[in-house]
Amino acid sequence: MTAGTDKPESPDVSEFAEVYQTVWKAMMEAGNRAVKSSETLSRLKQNDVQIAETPADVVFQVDKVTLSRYRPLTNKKADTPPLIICYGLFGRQTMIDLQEDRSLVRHLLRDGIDVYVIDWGNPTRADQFTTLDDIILGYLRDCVEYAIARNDGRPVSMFGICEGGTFAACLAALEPDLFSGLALAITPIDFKGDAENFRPGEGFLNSWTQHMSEEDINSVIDTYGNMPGELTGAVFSSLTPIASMTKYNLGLARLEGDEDAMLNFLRMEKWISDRPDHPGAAAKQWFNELYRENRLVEGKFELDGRRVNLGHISVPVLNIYAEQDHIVPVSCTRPLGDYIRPKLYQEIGFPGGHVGVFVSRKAQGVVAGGLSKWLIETQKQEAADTPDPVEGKSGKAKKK
Amino acid sequence: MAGSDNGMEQMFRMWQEGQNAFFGAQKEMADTFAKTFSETFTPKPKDPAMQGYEAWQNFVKAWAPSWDPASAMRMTPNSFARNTDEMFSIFDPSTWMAQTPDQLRVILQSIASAPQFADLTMPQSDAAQSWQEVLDFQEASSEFAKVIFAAWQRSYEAYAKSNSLEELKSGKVEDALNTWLKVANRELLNTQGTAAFMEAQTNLLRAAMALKKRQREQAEAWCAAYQIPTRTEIDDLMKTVHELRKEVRSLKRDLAEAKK
Repeated sequence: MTAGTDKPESPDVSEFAEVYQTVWKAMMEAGNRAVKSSETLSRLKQNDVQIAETPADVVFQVDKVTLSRYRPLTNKKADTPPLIICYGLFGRQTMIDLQEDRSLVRHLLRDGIDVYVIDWGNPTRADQFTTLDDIILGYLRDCVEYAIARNDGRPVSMFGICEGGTFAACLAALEPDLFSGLALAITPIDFKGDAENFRPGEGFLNSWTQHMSEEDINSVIDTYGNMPGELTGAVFSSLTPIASMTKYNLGLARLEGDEDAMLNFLRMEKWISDRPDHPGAAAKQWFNELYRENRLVEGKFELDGRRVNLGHISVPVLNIYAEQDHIVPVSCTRPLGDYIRPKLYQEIGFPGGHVGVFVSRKAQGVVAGGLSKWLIETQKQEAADTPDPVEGKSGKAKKK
Repeated sequence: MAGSDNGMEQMFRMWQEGQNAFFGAQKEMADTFAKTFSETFTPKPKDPAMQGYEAWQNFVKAWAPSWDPASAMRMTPNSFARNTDEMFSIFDPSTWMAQTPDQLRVILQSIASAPQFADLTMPQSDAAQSWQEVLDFQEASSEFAKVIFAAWQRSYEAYAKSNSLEELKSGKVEDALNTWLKVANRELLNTQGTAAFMEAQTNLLRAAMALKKRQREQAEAWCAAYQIPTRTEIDDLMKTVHELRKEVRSLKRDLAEAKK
């Protein structure tokens, strides 16, 4: 009956019946749990599931890209320059403000930091020719220059997340004067990483893109115009196969109707479902020049004909990585340290996964707290000179 | 909820009593049934019906060379219990239609590769190419499903080896389920890192994109026939707009720099 045991070869019906009953009982219990979850789910409406509720105002727009400034949550003002948060194009920046008690943005605002955030909008086929050159040296630089103008011409800090971190690092390398500090989280820098020693389930994006030819990647993008959000979503789901297969059945049942837990789950679902298409030309560069050819660390990556040299980053850098990150392995993020002068470089290793860096309860202290502390310690700017976050009036500031 | 809990418990008790009675009564009959069933379905070489069976076998082999119909005939309750591989093979999508018959491929290839004439349309050639691409996609899907199916099969085997029936009998069904999920996840992740998986994945992607491109060509031909702008024409226009916009941005930046 079972390998390695001395059971008779022919199935014993009474034994089978016994096991069948045990399993049936467990199924009934699971059914009860599922009924509870189903009842809770039927009470909840779309309006009950809200994310990114921290108030912010759009202060600048270029094409579909907007820069928003969060309204302050406290009268306290930190002695730091404004911080611009730059997320990537494979997801939405709303992850940094998923819910009130798990919001990186709220944490920073409560510490008196002036926070901006970039939203890349919803690229359509009309944006398929937008390149990384356009995104980094065009849109991103425009947003940074706007914030600098609002900060009396003084440099600002930037927090780049995932792909947005790569954008931020490239801009900081090409235009170091724009920044007073650079914080990155779960950011790929060395796109090959330590492929020989990836743990099971880690670095699939790296190995899959390595296995494909440039023609294969271009073929997908040319067919759709952009890299469809649904496709990248499906790829991300396949990186955690069983979790993806069981989240709507076992996963929901195991919540046993707990409304808070279910709302957490649904907020996460709302964030995941909002996956914009990635502009085609930029996606080709991302997968071919960076993932396949690893040009950034080889010093061969160019934007508008200018070679990106990470060694030109001359401001304090904080690099946050997730120790169990299956999407951007640790060996892909930490090599940034090889390019930054040691006295300017700090790291925070978060004991969790790629998304957990922002949405887990633990992350609020480790990541949000760590970032806030780093900003206050390394990015000093006279508090009295900080522009009024509500009125936008600039003081007579001098750079410290 | 209290009412529904009671209802569930009552239903469970009722079912349990019924099942006890059922299995008790069926034990002896089930043994006899298994023995009889296994003998009934063993093909008899000298039986005149064998001629028809052999003809059917040859027919199936011609269309699905990788599937052995004799294996299906050998499957009995006892053989299922002895050989789980054999049992699971009937669910394996790769055994249903792994390959298109070579003859069909040859015919399509000869039509698709016929020389083109300047003043004659060749709809049959286009149709043959499309058909070939559909077959390529079916084959690539089947190959991909085969890799995934093998991963599931390895998961079942790994789970069966490391987890005995005793664990289920001990009542820790939830633990057994968690172990199964862990085993399956590990096996699927391992598979996703193999060259076989990546090969099948890339081939499936290539076949899917070829099919999509063909659909686009057909849609564009229809658009052109009815004076509707095609995707390609709109893409060209957007490329021009993008390049102009980039030029304007660059000029604006240069102007701002010059004014400083």
